[in-house]
Amino acid sequence: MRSLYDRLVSTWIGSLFLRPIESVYTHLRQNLLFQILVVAVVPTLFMGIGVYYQFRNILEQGLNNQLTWQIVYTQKSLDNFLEEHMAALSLVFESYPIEQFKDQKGIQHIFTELNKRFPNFVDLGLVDSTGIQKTYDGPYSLELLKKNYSNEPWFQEVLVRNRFISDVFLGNQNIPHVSMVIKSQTFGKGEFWVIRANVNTSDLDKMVSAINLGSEDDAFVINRECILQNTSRFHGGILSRHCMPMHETAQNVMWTEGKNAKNEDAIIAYTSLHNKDWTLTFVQPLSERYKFFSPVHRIMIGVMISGFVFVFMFAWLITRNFAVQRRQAEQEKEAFLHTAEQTEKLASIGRLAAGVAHEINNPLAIINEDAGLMSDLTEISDDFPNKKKFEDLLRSIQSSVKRCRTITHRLLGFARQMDVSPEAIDINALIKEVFGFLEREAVNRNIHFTFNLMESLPIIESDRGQLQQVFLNIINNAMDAVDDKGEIGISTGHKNGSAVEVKIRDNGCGIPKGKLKRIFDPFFTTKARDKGTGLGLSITYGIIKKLGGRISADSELDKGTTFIIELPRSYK
Amino acid sequence: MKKMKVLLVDDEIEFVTTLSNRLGMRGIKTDVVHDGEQALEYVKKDEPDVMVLDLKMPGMYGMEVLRQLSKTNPNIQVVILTGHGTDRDEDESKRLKAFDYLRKPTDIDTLADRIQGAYSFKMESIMTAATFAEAGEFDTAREIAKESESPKTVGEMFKDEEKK
Repeated sequence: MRSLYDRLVSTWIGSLFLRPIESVYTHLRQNLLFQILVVAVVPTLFMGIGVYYQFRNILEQGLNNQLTWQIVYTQKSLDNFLEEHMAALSLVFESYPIEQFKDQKGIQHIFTELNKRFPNFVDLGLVDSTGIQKTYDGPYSLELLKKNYSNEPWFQEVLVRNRFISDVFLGNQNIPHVSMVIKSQTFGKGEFWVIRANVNTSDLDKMVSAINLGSEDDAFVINRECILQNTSRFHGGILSRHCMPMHETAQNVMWTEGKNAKNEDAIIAYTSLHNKDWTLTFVQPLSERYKFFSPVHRIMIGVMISGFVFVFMFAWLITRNFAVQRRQAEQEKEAFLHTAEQTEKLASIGRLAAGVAHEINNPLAIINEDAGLMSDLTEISDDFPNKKKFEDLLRSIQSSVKRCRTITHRLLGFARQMDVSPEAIDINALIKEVFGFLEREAVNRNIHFTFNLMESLPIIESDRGQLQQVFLNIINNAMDAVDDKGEIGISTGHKNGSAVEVKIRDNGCGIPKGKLKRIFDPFFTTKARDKGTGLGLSITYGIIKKLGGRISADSELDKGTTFIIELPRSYK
Repeated sequence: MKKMKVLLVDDEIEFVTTLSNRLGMRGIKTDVVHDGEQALEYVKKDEPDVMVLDLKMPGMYGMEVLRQLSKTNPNIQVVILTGHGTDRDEDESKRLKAFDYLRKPTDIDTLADRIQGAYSFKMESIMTAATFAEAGEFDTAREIAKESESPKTVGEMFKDEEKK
């Protein structure tokens, strides 16, 4: 009997509820997590990158401004250097009468005076309009006297411009020099004088290095022909040739991109001097720039990563909570639907069973009467061969009919409506009735049942079919919990005078403390997957609640479990 | 006491014939009919004391027979014997004052016992009424008679008593 009921119900429930629910929620959660992360991370990433570039631009601007300022400052120093020496020479030329220049002693005096204030002047000479050196004071006195300069480019140049500053050349002791030349006014007959002085330009290096240079940066001065006018760090020594991509002249500081001496990508800043066709050039490889930005990189990346970690953790928590809640809600919903469906199903099974029972009852009645008549006739007959045997067989037929009748009547009992249909119930009798369903299995497995039923137990008003289901579920569980030869005790009694209390105790495996709280939850089961649906006790719980009663369980691991059911005397 | 008259109403001929035989062997003489209409016909001609009635029969259902008898012949004690009975049928038959409600297959001795019981119940009711009538308490007697049998039968009863 147990198997009919159980097999039908559990097969049906199994098909509905044993699909992999876990994976559905894992999938849902992963989807959600992914979406949240995309929504949170992508804008953050864009914003981070935007902020980073903005910030970098500002920094770069700052850096460029600083460099521009330093370059302009250096340009001014260089211009000043040239200008003040030129001005000094010009002043001297105009201050002293030309006769004093013509005289060797006179020019020595003038140079001495000049050199006192401007030590970078290394010599001073006077050249006539034909280009012949007239007088000279300086380290080359002997060679230079009477020398003809008429074909020198500077002489040609000064004829046109009156003033001239040469490019750097290496003079005495390989010291870099420039020549400064000034032409006097033209006197009658096209006669004029030219003074020429060489200036030590070693100070150029010092001035250029006023630009604050990083370890890979370089700055130098070049002329139009790409000849370096001072010694650079990486781009060659003085008078070596190194062309940079730049415009001819630049009034302000110009920026461009190119390669440095090591052929690395570099930023190039340059500006022209005012007093000479030289260009002050600053070269900074991009790698040097990045060194400057690297702390910014580190901060940005750190902020971004910690932001992502934070977002991820939050998303993880949120989705976990969401999935758990969603799952609970759906479980509740499914459990509800399930209970409803199961009730309907049980009613259908009941109707089917009732139909079968009814149809069987009639032929059964014929068998019963026929066998009865045979038995009656045998009894009144005289002794005949095998009479005893006949009597035994007839008794056997009749007892089999009795067994069949028990079954059909029980099926009819089960067919009762699943709605609460209150009727007067003797709980003791009901328990015995339910036990009848399970008796065979109990005998097979040698499980010993003890009943301690209170005789004066009040009759209660409740639903017979549903109470049968409740006790069937709980006694079934008890039988699953005990080993063969286990003990199950059922007792009934009063509770607070008004309620009836039933205790069902087994000496089985027990339920751990942690799980005891959850046994009435839908889908919670300790049985093997194909054996328990985790619904039996939740249905039981639902029924008892509906009938206005209470159910609770006590358990001790390996000692057994006791279910206590309280039922009110009347329903509602 | 007059002899008890029992009518068995069942469409399962094999069953009801055997049942009739067996009851006969136990000293209960029975007549047999096989559907509701026949039963009502029979009752019109010769009212039985006890009727054993099946519920599910072709044509008129047992419950309908019981309903009509409760109006026309309330003194017939009806024992329902059915394989199809539901709780509703049982409640309904009790409401219509059937004496008992048995489910097939039933034990022959149980059935015989109930038939006897039904007959005794009927006799006791009539005797009680008769006693009151003898004592001159006709009103009470009439009330009891109303509860259990038709006035005409009560009249017959008085005649029987007078003959004695």
